Amino acid sequence: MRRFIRKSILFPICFLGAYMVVFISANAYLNRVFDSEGVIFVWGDSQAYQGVDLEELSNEIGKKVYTSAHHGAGVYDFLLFTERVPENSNVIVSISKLVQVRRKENDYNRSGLSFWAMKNLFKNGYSLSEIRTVVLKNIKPHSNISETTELYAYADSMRIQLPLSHFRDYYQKIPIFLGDKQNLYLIGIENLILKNCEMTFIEFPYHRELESIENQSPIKKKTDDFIFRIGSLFNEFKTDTLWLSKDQNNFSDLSHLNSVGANQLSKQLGEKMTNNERTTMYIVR
Amino acid sequence: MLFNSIDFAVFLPIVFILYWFLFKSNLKLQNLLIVVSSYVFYGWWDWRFLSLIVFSTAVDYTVGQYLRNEENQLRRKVLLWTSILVNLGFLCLFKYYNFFIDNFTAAFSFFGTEISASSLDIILPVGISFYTFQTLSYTIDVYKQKLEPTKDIIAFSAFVSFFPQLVAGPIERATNLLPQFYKERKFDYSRAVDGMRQILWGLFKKIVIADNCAQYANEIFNNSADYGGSTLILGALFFTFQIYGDFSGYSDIAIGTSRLFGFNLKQNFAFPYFSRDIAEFWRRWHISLSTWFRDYLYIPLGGSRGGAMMKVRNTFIIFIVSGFWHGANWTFIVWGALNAIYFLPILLTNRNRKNIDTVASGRLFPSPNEFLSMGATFGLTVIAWVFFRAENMGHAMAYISEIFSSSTFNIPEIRPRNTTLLIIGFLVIEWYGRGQQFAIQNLGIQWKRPFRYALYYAIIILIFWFGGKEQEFIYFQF
Repeated sequence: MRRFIRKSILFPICFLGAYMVVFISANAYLNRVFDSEGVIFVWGDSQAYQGVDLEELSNEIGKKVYTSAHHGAGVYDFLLFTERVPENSNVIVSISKLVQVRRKENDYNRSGLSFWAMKNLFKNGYSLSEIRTVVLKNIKPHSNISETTELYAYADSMRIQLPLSHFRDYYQKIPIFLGDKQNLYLIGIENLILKNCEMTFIEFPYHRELESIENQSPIKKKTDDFIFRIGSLFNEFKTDTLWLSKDQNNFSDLSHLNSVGANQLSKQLGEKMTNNERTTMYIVR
Repeated sequence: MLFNSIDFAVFLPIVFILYWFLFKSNLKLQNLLIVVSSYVFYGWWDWRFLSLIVFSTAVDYTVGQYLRNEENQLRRKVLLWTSILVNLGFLCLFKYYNFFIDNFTAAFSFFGTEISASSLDIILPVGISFYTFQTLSYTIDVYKQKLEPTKDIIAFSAFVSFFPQLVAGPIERATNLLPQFYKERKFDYSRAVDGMRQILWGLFKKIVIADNCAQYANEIFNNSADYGGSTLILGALFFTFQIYGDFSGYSDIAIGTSRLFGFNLKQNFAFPYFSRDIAEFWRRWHISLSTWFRDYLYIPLGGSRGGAMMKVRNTFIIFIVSGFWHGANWTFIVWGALNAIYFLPILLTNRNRKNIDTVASGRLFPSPNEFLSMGATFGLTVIAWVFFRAENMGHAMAYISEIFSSSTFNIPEIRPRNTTLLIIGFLVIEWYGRGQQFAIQNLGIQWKRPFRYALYYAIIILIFWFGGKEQEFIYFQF
């Protein structure tokens, strides 16, 4: 019996050790691109994943562009992104309004394990059970960086995947966690500042119908204030606008650009970034 | 409480330590601990239904006591039927009442008469079909004087509610399990380690194979009208592995857990997808249920002793009842009938015991003949599973007819690479270990410790990395 108990205790301990070795190796292998220098890293949720044409942006800027944008990416993913990005990097960040108001449990949060990020979650209103969920989601190492994205194909009209009522629900009242999430994003941005990263922010457009819901929402003031809070972290911060041509349909659905929109946006963004040396928030219209 | 939950991962070591340390020297206390922990295990899901188990236990214990001294055959029969009616009464009320009401009203309205009968808004208590059959086996065996009725109500309660196999089997016979509660149990290191290995393999089957297959099977079956024949075939194949991984995985965890507490449960699955004919399949699939029906239904009906007509009748009865046991839906009945149709030609030509041994025993690969037989049996089984999984008969027929259409020759719309590779790897290991109680029973047993541990670690990592979205065990609903 003693032998069984002894082995029952030793087995998981040894497993934990072995697993950490496997996990760290796999993680380092899958995310090795983060060690690259002289490249541009993009972070955001599905709006950034679908809204940036990496090839076009890379051609404009003359640097390699990697994206960590992911459908449903959340604040934990952002914190890990800021941890992994090397010092002095060039970073494009999109913290959309939807990413701020999305329910915590719907965030992707699968970028790996980080004690620092979890500690910050805990300090900012995440319960132990929510952190446990994050840990469980990250037991398997994931690749969080890519050189390519699959843009939505062009179509003359939008396809409505999620009805407007879905967004109305989100924008109806200020979520209790909004302040905590915004604080966490600011912690991530501060981390990038400490790493001396050159940052560009981008706010992707919504379809006008969604925009009108947003304008009537009590959340709007909070999300607008958030932009000022970001700006206050920098010595020099300005906002600029990118205008998408209305000749063709730019939207795939209410909140995502299609390949035409993504291409136009990336071209303009590339041009502006090449000529601009100040931290800028680009608002796309 | 689910076996693949954190709750169970905490519950099991606590019970294990109490059982082997605190109550080690007292058999009665050990049995009492099993009863209490089994009730906690069951009550974790819904404590209200504990009353059903307690009532069933009380009825069968009392009937057993009366049967002990009763020699009058008529009274013995009355006692037996009391137990059968109480147990099956509960089962019918919770599981079949709505089915019969709905079908009666439908039948009357078909003939132009509208009758009003309302169905009940009740949920099915988890595992009711399993513990009902287990406790019935006690009463029937006592009635047939194959088993001495127990005086020990604690041991009997532990037998009825034994948590490892309470909610999804294996359905243990009183003749096998009950006497184990009377004997002093000593901790056996190699048995416990073997149990742990079986638990590990069961978790792999459930979490990696079944839960991954479930995602695709659910997607394809739930939207079958949107897919062509080739994708529907894939859906049926995924369900085939889902149900095997799910149910045999549960059985492995149950048997392995029992071994940790010094109990031996009977093997419930013996690599059924390597069967060479349907008769062999049914000797290897859900063995505890098949043998239950054989001993308590098929043989009392006359078994295979009579003429051809009697064989046909009894075969249909046993398979249809077996189908109906799984659920109150015509799809299960048709699934049972279809298996009877598969089985009858073999029975009537006396070839039902042709393949008793393990396929390709002592060889690495099967002969071409064995391979073809296995493939054909597997194919028939897959078709039958479509009825088992379908929502209703219309759904099943539409699904099958699309499979036999020209769209079967198109490239499937869904091509899950990882799950397919996992299934192939799983089949290789199952094939390698097909002569044992479970596939990894002897795998790596002779290896040096680091290699053996590396194998176990690799399985655990596969569970962590490739575990599918958590699904409830399919057989909980039966």
